[in-house]
Amino acid sequence: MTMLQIENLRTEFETPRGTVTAVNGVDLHIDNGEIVGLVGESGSGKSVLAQSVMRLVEDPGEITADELLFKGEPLLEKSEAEMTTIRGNEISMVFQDPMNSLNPTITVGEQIAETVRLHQDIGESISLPAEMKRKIIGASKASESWRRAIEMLESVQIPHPESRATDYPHEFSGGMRQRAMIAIALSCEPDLLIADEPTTALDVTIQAQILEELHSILEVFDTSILLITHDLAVVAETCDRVNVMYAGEMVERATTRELFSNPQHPYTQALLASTPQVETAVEELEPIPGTVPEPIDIPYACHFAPRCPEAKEECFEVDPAFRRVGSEDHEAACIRREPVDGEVIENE
Amino acid sequence: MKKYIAKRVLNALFVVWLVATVVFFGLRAIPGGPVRTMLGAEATEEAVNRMRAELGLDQPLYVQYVEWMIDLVTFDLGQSLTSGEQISVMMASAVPRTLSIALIGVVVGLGIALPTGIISATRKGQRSDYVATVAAFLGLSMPAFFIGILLALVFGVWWGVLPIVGYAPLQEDGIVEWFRRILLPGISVGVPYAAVVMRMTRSSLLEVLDAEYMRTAKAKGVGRTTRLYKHAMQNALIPVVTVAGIQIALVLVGSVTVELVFGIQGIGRLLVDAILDRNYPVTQAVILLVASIMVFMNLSVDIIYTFLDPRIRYGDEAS
Repeated sequence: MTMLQIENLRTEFETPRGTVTAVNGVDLHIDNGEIVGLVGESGSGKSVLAQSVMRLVEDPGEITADELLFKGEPLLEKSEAEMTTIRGNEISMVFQDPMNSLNPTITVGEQIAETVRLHQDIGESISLPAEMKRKIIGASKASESWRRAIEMLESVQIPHPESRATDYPHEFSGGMRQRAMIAIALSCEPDLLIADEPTTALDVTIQAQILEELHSILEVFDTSILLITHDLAVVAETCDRVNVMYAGEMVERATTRELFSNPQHPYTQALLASTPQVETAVEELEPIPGTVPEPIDIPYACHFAPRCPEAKEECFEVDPAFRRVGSEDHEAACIRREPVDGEVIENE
Repeated sequence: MKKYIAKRVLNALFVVWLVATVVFFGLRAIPGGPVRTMLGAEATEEAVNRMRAELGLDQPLYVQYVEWMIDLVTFDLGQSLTSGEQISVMMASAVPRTLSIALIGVVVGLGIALPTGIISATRKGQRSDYVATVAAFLGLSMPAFFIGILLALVFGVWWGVLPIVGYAPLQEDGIVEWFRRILLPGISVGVPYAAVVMRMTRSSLLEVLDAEYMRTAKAKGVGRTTRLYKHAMQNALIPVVTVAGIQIALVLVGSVTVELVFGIQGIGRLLVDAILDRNYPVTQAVILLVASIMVFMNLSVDIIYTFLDPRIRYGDEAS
């Protein structure tokens, strides 16, 4: 069954300088129990895509899509009240910067317990007065939600969870804070976890631990994961399938194995060439010249064309539709690649 | 925490001493002494000298300074040069008046500032935000005494619903009369204060609403109102407390002129008269009092911080 089905999703921001199209007609799907990677440089629209799925995009952001189905239900048709019952419960999110993603004035335990209380029927009031009382005089250590919070801290390997639950975020290290974020995200056993660069702000040894954590979660809770990263090593290690995004558009998608062994889109190739690899350490790294264009009225058809070593005149004029370029649903959006089955997949 | 407070109190005493010293010498550097002011320009040299000797002003400056310091340590504020009245008695009558005005000013100020700041921040760019912003700038750009004159005109002269002159002591005339007398002066000093605090509340809350942990709260499924009051407010109040505490000075300064408008014999009135008369001991005493209030407010702000921000722990507690 499909957990998340996205077709032609656009997220636009009306600004005084023009319409910023952060996500420009993107398709994406995630099956049950899958880990799907979303890679791209900074500014490619990965995070906006993730936030669009949960409808976290703030004004003046505008989300439209032909389809945005979560477990078959159209998310864009939900009311804000319905969304609050989905957020943190059925879909949850881990953010990039664990230093600033936790509230500095609420204990870690309460930040987890709150999520439990919001979404699980454990008979604890979530009215504003009740929540303010917990905030000011502290949450009850005997409550079911607090017990669950400690359980969650334990399951993400926080030592002495009973005492650490009463700590404030500043008393946690960066890695521990990200574990706490994961504990919040998993406290209601979501069906889909969106992890937006969960390891970028952490050092390498902690990164490995967090990734392992994500892996074990999948086994325990049967959660699908959308893993957003610019780190191809993380993708290679973790994901079943990969989507490559550039300047608001999807450019290539394939299984992880296929993508790394047979990258087709020039952007993916350039991305791989600019990533250090142990086996081929002799060669020099090749940076991609130029930067990601600002997504305001990009005048050329293929957004990567100005930086592309293979670009020809028609690349600037003809929209690059997806085509099969390898085995197992390996597709790339580049007119310079001959489709293996001779067919160009129409979008829009 | 105790250690910290002890340290801060010592520090405060030092600041108060410094203010006292600066005021002492600063006052005497102003041309024209109290005797000349009292006796007038026609007084003979002999009369002036006799008066100076009587008041002890003929002694060397350092002797006067040391004597005043000794008096201060024994809580003796001395006597007024002009009336001979005990300054402590003058203060006992003036201080409650000014504090009453300041109290109403702060209550009215915060009562206006916090709700409008919150509305303004949560409806940024909407009509209510613009209205609040324009009102705040109006409040900021009008001095307290001018607001006092307007209020006196509207409520006292046109509508005649409130008295506009004098003060009614709480113990003698009861709370209703007391309140009726200080309401207008209180609002007058409260409006500029409200404007400053409102602007701070707005910008601080806007910053917090934009913080990543607020996005986390939304992603957890926390509703809008709970996000605002449980997740944002405490963080937003930290800088507001600083401004609200320090700007009490604005209320006290405003009170000086507002007391003149409403004919209330508070410390503002006392100070203005004392400076005009070159009445050294009274001027010194009043400025010392105001300085002490400010130092105390600063200390209070720092202590309130520890309740608002769990990251701040002072002194001997583990960090």
